[in-house]
Amino acid sequence: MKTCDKYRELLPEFLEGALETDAAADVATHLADCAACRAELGFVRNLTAAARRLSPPKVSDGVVLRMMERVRHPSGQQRRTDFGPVLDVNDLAEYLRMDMAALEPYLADIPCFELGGKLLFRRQTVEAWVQQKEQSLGFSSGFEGGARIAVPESAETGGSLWTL
Amino acid sequence: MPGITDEELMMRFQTGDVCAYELLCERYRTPVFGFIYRMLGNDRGPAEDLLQDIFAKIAGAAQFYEPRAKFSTWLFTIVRNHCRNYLKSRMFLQGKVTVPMDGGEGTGDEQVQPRQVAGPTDTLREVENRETGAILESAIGRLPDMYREVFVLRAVQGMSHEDTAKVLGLNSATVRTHYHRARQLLREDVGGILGDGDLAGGRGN
Repeated sequence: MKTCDKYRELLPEFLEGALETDAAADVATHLADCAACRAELGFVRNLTAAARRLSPPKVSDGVVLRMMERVRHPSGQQRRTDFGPVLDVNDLAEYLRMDMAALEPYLADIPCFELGGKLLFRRQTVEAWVQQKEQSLGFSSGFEGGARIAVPESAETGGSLWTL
Repeated sequence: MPGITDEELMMRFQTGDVCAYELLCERYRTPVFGFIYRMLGNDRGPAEDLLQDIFAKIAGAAQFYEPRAKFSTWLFTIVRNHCRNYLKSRMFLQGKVTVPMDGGEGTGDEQVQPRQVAGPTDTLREVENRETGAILESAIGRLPDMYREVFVLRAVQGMSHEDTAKVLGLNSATVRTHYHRARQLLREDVGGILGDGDLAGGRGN
């Protein structure tokens, strides 16, 4: 026998008419006998109505313009991907798609070497460091979970921390 | 192009019709922004950045869209994953990386929306609705991420149960449980102002 909680889980679909006939009849029978679940049905109805009435936050006009500009002229937004085997700090920031201020706390953690007074990073080593980070944090690609999209090899060479 | 489906527009864009994609952006920018904004705890700046990034990235990767997938479900899957990645990166920066997002208690910096001042032409009902809305909005912001995303998609955006499960990559039963839990938490938080919370008939079994 189902508990009230199990019936209550079904109430939104019951209200939407999205349940199969038998399941809907089962819920209706339970509601006829259970005042607590009838009250819950009223709450679900009120809550859903209030949620649907919420004003959508407005996207500011400037953001819409910038967004459409990026859609129309994607090349202007593309980042550099032609990094050589050795990066200096600025290259590294661009490679990791971070600004310098954000990168700074991580610098001590990223393997590097010094040559002629310049702090340098091997791209391969940085990639390994990034991979280690990915594995330890369990980040997922933005297109996972049924989005059915493949990221081309070339898009991966940018080596960003946060992929598509 | 009002009669054209999202999927047709996306296919047109795949063949180089940028106007078709602009129309898709027009159709979806408000609901997508609404979802991002609420998932990021009403943090406007990052939400606007994420909105631009997502639509630009989707434009760049449009050739990978398969028309048999419903566009809105595909889009929200991408949007949701971007939000999760953003929230995870923010938790990392805040030194909370050991707290799994799925079991987290919100993002920690939810902001209460300012209440709007009533205008002279507002009816009492409009004022009441707006006040209820502001209270509900901040209560939604206090929900843990895993319940908030289900609540926003199902109740606020009106997405079907099946589509919500697809977007979130969860099974049907889990979506029901999370949505129910979200409602329970909201009831404890703001049930009084929504009315019809009379439990005088008993506590149920």
